[in-house]
Amino acid sequence: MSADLASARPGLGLRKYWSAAIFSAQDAFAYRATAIVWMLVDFIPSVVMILVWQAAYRTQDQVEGYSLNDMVTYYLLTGIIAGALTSHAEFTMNWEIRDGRLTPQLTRPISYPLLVMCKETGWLVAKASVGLPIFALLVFLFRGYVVVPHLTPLGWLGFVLAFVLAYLILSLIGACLGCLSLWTIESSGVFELWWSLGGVLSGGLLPLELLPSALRQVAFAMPHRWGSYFPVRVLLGKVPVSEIYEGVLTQLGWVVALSLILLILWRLGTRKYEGWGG
Amino acid sequence: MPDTPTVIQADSLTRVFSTYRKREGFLGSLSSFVRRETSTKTAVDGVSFRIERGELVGFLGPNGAGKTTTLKLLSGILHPTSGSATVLGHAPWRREADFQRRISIVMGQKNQLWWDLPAMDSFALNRDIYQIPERDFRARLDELTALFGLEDLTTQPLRKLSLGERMKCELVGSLLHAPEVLFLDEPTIGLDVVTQKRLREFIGAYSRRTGVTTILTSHYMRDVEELCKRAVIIDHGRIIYDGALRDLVQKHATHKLIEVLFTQTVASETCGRFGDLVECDGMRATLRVARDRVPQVAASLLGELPVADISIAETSAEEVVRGLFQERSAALPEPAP
Amino acid sequence: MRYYADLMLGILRNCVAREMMFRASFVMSLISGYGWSLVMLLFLSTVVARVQALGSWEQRDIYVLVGTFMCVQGITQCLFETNMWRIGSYVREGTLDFILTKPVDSQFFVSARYLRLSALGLLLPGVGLVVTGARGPFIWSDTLLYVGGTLAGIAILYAVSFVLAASTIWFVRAEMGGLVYGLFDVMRLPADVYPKALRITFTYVVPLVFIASVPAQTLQHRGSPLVALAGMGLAVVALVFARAFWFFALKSYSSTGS
Repeated sequence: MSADLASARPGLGLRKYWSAAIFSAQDAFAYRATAIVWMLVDFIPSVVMILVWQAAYRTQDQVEGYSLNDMVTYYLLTGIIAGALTSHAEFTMNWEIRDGRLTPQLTRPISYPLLVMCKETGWLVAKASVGLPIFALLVFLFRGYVVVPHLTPLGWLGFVLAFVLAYLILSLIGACLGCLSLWTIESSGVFELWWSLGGVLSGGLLPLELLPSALRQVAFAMPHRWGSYFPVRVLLGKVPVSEIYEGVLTQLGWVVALSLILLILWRLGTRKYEGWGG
Repeated sequence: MPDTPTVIQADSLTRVFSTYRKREGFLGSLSSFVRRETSTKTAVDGVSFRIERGELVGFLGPNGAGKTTTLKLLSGILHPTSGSATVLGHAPWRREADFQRRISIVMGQKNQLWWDLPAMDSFALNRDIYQIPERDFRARLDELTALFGLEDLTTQPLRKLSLGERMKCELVGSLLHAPEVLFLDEPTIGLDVVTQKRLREFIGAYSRRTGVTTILTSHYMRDVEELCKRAVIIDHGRIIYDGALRDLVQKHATHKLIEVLFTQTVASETCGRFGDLVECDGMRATLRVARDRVPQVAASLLGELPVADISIAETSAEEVVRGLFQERSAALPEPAP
Repeated sequence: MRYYADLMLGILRNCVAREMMFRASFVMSLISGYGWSLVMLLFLSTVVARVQALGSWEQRDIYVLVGTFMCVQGITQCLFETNMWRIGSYVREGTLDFILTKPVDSQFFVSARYLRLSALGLLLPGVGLVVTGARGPFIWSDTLLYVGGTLAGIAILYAVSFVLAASTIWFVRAEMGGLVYGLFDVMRLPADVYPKALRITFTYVVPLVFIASVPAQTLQHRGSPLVALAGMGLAVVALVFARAFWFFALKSYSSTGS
């Protein structure tokens, strides 16, 4: 594992270090202690950004329709989603492809990426078990600034749907990225660029309205915003109920589109792959 | 410091390790964090010896006997718990630069050289570290390359070489600064039999040519048998024999081995009547027989069994040493729980 | 010290050879090194653009801050990053033993053995940002204090990451060497932004503010020169501490064995 510094996306943190750190921590206690420390480190960007906003709001009450409390809650939510609830299928796929462990699985048309996504979901439970307590701690620390969600039952239903679909969208994006490894083995540099960009596009760096206009337009066209930005805004109460359901439909559309893209990438890529490294 | 013949001297050298016992599971780990149970292990127990300039001494013993620890004490990696050692007039653990420039250590299966680069680049770094003058460096490199049969191995990245080739490069790299003392810790471990033999030959040739004082540790009998006139046998941190291997064999060789080849299958019980059966697979058998009874037993075998061929051999050094260890473990009290 | 200079040249030679062998990944890591720095620059400058100023820091001050940090980061990563990460594996795999038997200073060898040349790529945008954001007029003393302060920042960053990495001698199984990178975002912030408690921690306990924030302020003709000098003094203290810590750790290593 090379020691290239990962340019991280917000909340995602220093993914490479995390994984290598976990692998090197072999006994249960060191493993858990390492996991906790790295989880904390993962949250630093979110905390840092909140502190910056707190300083910024000393001169103003509202920025583009967000109050300070809105902003703080926004970053806390985005942080937990990116840090503990996002799958990293692209990583697993990259490693397995590099190691040549893919060859036996090539006989199945699409199940490999799905398999990876399912494995990642299992891994998520482990990460969430460490991440959620930290999230709770941060909520406590910033308790004066947190917005408590006020949604109608219909709104809550909409949120749950949005949340599940958001997870699917982020997983599918990850899996598509993972397919890149079928073309070039040294794709980790591309991943790093993509994560930084992806993090920005999903609203992890700034609420999308605040991005410079060119970037904002790209962001509104890409699927990433439906992975993080949208569900967070729903929870903040900034989306009227009817729009929630419109959004859910758009999410569904993206899930279908991404699945198709994944299928195509996978088919094309496995043909190219021909069992290197095996 | 006058140039005495004694290069390495150890006096009651002792090294005790305390290890913490960890308990299973997360809660176990937590509780052991709070209250540690320590258990001590004496890896090297009051070891004393002297080694003269130019000797090639073998430290032999099973895994965990204390051979590697002794080497680490002599090279300055570890501090002793008690006792003392002097190498080339220095206390090794003081790690004086003067001392370090005159010694070298190589450990089997551990790399000092850069992984991604050809060995040659690592050699160049060693030249800088040890401040070897360019001319001497070139001369020694050529000499060692010829002696160890490196040819073009040094221009390929280290990771592309086999384990044996890597070990050769490691050895060459550590000899470039012409150390006066060489510590070799299990240099042949993990290698196939042929490569082991070749490596031994190289080490032997280098030792004869330069007269470097060498300590070689191994748990392979053959390494010591072939290379060293003097063997120091270590068990549980103590020296149980220090002297010429040949003398050891002769002194303990109360038995001889009779190897028989049969014309037809003979049952093991039948063979067993004549002496201690070391091996029997139907067509051939090896018997361990007391020296003085050998003529009788041989005659009986030839008379009573369908023998195709018979040969009589000395007990191997391996046997003798194994016997030594068996005696010791029988005599030792049960280790405390 | 001619010895160590020669040694450094030898190491540089080997590193260049290695980077040239892996040209593609050299370029990749060059590019990816920019990614996060630029992202954070985007964040800070957007926020400041919306609210005019963060405390006393305006847009151009932010450029100087981020630019300074990029230079510190670039140099530190080039010289030390790979090595801090490897200290853990030296301890785990026992190769630290070899290092201890060589007639080189062990701290030097362990810290300088590998270079990551691609990190130097950060110097270009870094210097560019500093030059863009610097406030006139040009005052010699402020500029000198800035350079001194930045060097002090590099020293402090090295000391912090080295102490963390050296602690793997005790926490063998847990990887500490990379931990310091999580703190980069903290170092990139103007000291004003922190609530009082954190500001005190980052000034007196783990002196992160001296890494970029203090030098940047000095260049912008704000902040007292005493603070800048204190930073340099602190750098010396940090380096001395790091060295003492290393030998303390080695003593422990040699006493408890592998």
